Amino acid sequence: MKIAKRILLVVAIFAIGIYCGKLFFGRGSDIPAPVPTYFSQSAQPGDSVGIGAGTVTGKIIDVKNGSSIQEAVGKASPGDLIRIYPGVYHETVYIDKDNISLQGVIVNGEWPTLDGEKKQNDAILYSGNGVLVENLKITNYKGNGIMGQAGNNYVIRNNWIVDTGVYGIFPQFGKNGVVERNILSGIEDAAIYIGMCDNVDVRFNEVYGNVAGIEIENSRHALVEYNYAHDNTGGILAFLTPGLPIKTCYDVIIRNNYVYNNNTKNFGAVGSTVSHIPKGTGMLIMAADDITIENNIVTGNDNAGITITDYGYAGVDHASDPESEPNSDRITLLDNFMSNNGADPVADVKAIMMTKLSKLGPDIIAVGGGQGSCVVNPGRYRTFGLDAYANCQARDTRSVKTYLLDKPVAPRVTATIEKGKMTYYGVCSGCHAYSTRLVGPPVNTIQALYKNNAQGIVDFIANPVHKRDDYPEMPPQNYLTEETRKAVAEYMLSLTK
Amino acid sequence: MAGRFWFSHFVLALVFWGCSSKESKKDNPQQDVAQLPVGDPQVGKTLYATCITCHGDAAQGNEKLKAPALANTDNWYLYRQLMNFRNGIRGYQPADTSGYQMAAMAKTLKDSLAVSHVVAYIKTLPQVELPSIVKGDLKKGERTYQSICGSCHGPGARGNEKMNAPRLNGLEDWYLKSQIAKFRNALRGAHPADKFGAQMVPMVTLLADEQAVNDVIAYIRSTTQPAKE
Repeated sequence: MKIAKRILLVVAIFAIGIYCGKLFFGRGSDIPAPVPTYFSQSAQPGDSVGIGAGTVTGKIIDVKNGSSIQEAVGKASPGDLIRIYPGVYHETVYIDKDNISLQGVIVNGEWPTLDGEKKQNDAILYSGNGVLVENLKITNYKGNGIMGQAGNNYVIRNNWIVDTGVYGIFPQFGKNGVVERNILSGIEDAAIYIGMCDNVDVRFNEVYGNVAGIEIENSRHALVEYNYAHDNTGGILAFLTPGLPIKTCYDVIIRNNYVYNNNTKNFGAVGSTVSHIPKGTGMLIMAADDITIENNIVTGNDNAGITITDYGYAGVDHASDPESEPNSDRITLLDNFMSNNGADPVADVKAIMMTKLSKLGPDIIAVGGGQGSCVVNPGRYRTFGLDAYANCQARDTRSVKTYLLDKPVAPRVTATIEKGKMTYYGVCSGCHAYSTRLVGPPVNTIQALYKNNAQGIVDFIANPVHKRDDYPEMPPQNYLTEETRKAVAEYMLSLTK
Repeated sequence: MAGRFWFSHFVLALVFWGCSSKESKKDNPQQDVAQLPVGDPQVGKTLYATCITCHGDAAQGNEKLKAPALANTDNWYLYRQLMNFRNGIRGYQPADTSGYQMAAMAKTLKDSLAVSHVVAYIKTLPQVELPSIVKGDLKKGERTYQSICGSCHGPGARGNEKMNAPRLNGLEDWYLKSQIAKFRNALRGAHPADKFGAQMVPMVTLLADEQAVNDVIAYIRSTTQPAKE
C-alpha cells in the first residue's frame, strides 16, 4: 500500500512537471522560427527592383498539407503564385515554367517543410526564369536544397535550410538574382553557392555549421553584404575553379559581413574541391580578380582572417586548365575590423609565421602571384605577404547599391542546337568540372569511360548507379527528356576544356 | 504422355540454350572474362609452379625479371588480365617485351577454369609488403590522384570493382610506371576488344610529364595497404 502511494506520488509529480513545462515553454510547434540574429533590417524600398520575380499577375494556388506542390506547379501558368501551407512535403519540385512564385505560409511559427528523408536528392529545381522561392523549410535532402539551372531573374528569400547534402542554395548559371535572408546549416559543400552567375546580391543570410558558408565561384558582379557567417570551415569564399566553362571570377564586393569563429572541422567529401579548405578560414580569395573587401567584422578564425592565394599555393593543378588565370589580381582591402584570428594555423601558414617571428597567425595573408592589389591602413592588422600592396585610391564602395540590373534580363537561348550546351552549363557543371574533381568525377574521366558511347551517358544519368564509395550519389536526371540527355551527352563528349 | 512430351522438349531446349550460350561466349572474349569460375586452390598450386620462376613463390614479384607482385591484386582483376593475355588482347605485340612473354605463359593454362584455379591459389597467399623506390611530391601526387585517377581507382588507390578499376596500392612503383608508359605508347589498351584498357589510354595522357607520374606513383605507394576482406 505504501509502495503504491509512493508510485502514485511520483507519477503525479511527473505529470505536474510536464504540465508546467508545457505551460512555460509552450508546445513544440510554438517554438518561434529562427530569424537572422545579427542583422534585422527590414527590406529597403527598391529591393528586388528589376528582377521581375514575385510579381504576381495570375491566380493563387493553395497547397495544403497532404497534397503535392509539384501538382500545383503543373497546374500553374506564368504569373501565378503558389502558396504552401504548413505541413510536411516529401517531394522534389521541378519548375520549368517562367514567372512562378513559390511562397511558404508560416502560421504561428509552423513552417511548410520539404523533407527529403535522406532518400530524395533535391527539394527544388528550377530552370524557369523569374522564379521566386521563399519561406520554406527544407531538410534531409542528399543533393541540393534549392538549385537553379540556368534560370535568370530569381529571388530566393527567407528559407530555412538544414542538412540538404552538397549545396543549400545554388542558382547555377543564373543572371540577375538575389539570395537574401536565408538561414542555412549542416551543408557538406557550400551552403550558398553562387556558381557561374552574373549580377547577384547575396545579403542578410546566416550560414553556420557548413563546410563553406558563402561561395562566389566563377561569377561576375556579385555583392555579398550583411551576412552572418559563423562556425563553418570557411566563412565567405570567392574563387575561380579551373575546368568550368566560365573561366573568370571578378568584380565581387564583400562588405558589412560578420565572419566569426569559422573553425568547424572540414567534413566535405575527401578529395572534393572544398575538402582542401583549412578549418579556421574566415575569408578565402583564390584566383579571383577585382575583389573589394570592406567594413567586415572578421574575428576568431583560427587559421587566418582573410586568405588571398593563387593556384600554386592552394595546390590546385593549374596545368589542367591553362585558360583559368591562376592569380588573385587587384584585390582591394578597405577598412575592416579584425581581431583574434590565426590562433591555430595550418602548417604552411605556420612556416610563414616562423620567418616573421610571429607567435600568432595572420588577420590577412596573401601568398602567390597577383598584381595591382591595395590595402588601407594595413598597420591595423597582423598581415603576411602584403608588402607589395599599394595604398588604395578607393576609400569605400558607397556608389554601389546593388548589382541587380534595372530590368529583367531575357531568358537564355534554349534552341535545340544550344540545348546540350545549356544543360551542361546549367546542370552538369554544378558538380563536374572538365579536369578537376569538383563534386563528381571530372569530365575528361567520363570521356575516357564513355568514348563513342553517348547513349551510355544518356542511360546512366537517367538512372545512375552508385559506384564510388568516396563520392556522393549521382542524382537521377530523368526529368530531362531523352532528347535533352542525348544533346548534353554529345556535348560533354565533345568538350576539350 | 503429354507431360513426358513437354519434358523432352524442355531438355532439348536446355541443350540448345547451353550450346548457343557457349557459342556466344567464344565470339566475345570480354564476356567470358566477365564471369569468374570457382577455382580450386589445390589444383592452382600445382599450376602456379610454372609462375614461380618469375613471380616468386610468395607471388611477391621480381623487378629484375619485370614480373610484378600478384599477392596484393584482387582476384577478379587477376582473372581478367590472365584471360586477356590468353585471348591475345594484352601482350600480343612483340614490342611489348614483358607482356609478350606473359602472353606466352598465360597460354600454357588450358582454359578459363585453369586460370581460375591459379587465381584461387594466389588468393591464399598472404599480402606482401613492397619497397618504394620512386620519389615524388606526395602532396602534389595526391591532388593529381584525386583529379585524374581517384574517381575510378577509388580512395587510397584501393581499386573499385564496380568501375572495373584495379587496386594500385599493392603494386610496385616500377611496375605502375612501366604500365603507364605502355598505355602511352599503344602497347596496352590498344586492342579493340580491350574495352577497359582503352579507358586508360586517354587518362594517362593527362599526366603532364615524368614528374607528375613520379608524384602520383609516390602518393599511391604512400597509401596504406588495407587487408583484403
